[in-house]
Amino acid sequence: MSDAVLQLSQTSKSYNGVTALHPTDLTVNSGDVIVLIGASGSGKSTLLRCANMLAIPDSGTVTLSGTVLDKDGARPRASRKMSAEISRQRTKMGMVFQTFNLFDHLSALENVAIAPQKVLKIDKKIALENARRILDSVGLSEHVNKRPSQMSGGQQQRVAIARALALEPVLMLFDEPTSALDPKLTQEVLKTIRDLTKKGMTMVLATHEMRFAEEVATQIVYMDQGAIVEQGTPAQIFKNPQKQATKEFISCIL
Amino acid sequence: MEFDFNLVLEIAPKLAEGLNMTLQLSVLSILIGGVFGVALGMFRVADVIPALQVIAKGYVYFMRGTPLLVQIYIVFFLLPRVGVTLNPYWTGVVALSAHSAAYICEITRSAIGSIATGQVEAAVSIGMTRFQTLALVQLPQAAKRMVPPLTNELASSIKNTSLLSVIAVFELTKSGNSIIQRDFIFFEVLFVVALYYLIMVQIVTAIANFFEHKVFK
Repeated sequence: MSDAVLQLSQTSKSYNGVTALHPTDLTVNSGDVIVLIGASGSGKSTLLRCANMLAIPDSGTVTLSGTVLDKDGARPRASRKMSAEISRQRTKMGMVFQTFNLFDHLSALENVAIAPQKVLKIDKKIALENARRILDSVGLSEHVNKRPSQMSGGQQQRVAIARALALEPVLMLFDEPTSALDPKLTQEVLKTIRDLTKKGMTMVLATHEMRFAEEVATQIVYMDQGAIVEQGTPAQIFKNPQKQATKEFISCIL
Repeated sequence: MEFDFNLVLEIAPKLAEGLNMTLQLSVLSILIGGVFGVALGMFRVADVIPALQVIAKGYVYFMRGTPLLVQIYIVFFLLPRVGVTLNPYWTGVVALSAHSAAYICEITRSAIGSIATGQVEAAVSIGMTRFQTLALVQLPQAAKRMVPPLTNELASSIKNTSLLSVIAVFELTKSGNSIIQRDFIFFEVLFVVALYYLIMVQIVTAIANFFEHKVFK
């Protein structure tokens, strides 16, 4: 489909000869909430990291809104022009990490404003205003001036989500956003993500929160040993899995 | 052993000039070495220009693997050969700066390397270029972590200036030595010389502590 937001086509990745992702196809259309489930090491993270070229695929292509991403632009010794182009494409994808990865030397507000200001070259005043508004939308209006070290994990992750949203991405990538959080903090982060799905945000989300996956997903993708085993609606995957591996995984969590 | 405290009081002001010289030499060499060292450190971290990386690596390898005294001799004898004539003072500055640059290169490299890779990935994921990631994310945090090792480097530099006495730079040790040779007063002179070094290192440490705990929080 040519109007896909994100399309992986035969994308693969290995690390030191160990295959992390076998050649994989995945199409993400506008408004899709695709939830990746599967055991640790099944390739969920690698798939997400290949999508925005944090991991450079060994083969295959990644197409974002009709543009094929240039793998060479992501390499350390890429020319300035090529790496600038891949940076520009990355601003369209918001990435949220398991370990938040906020900039420790900046306040919540600065963490959110820095990319619009420095990457998109938006006027500082406007960038800060927008950042304040986005932090407010994730329920952090009282914490704008705090440093990451002064916030709970849940607050930090919501700042990280706000940081990604500040670039007004066409797509959000979540790499196990709640795996480092306790159940209470997990719920506050899931609420933030749920709110985003209600606004129609397109996203690919790797998670072990099965109830949440079932609730928000338009498509569930079950991965095992670096490959997509089965893909379908939450009802199909959770109630009526077809493949043996999927059945076993689902039976573990029910 | 005889020790005349009145002599100490007499000698102390005579060594003020040498003290001043030592301070100048060490501060200058840390500043100049700092500029080159930080640049070298960034060349080593940024995997952009392979040739620069190799040069930086080789430079550090040589400077850390040979004694400073040998390096001082090399600079002293080499510079005139290549047509650069400097007085002993500036020869000393060149030698010490070149020496410090290698250590500051390593300080820079390890400080930048100590910033969690997750933050670098986050910076890349929000579209920052390599240079922006370095300038906006890695360096500001690395700078803070560089303060304690840089303080050590300055303290080392203060003590290292004493080696410049071999090329007739009248820094603190050489000044003390000349009094010893003229007046045959050993312990009182060495006492003042050692005390001056101690005081300088103490002041540097106090300033660094202030920066580390008050300025950077």
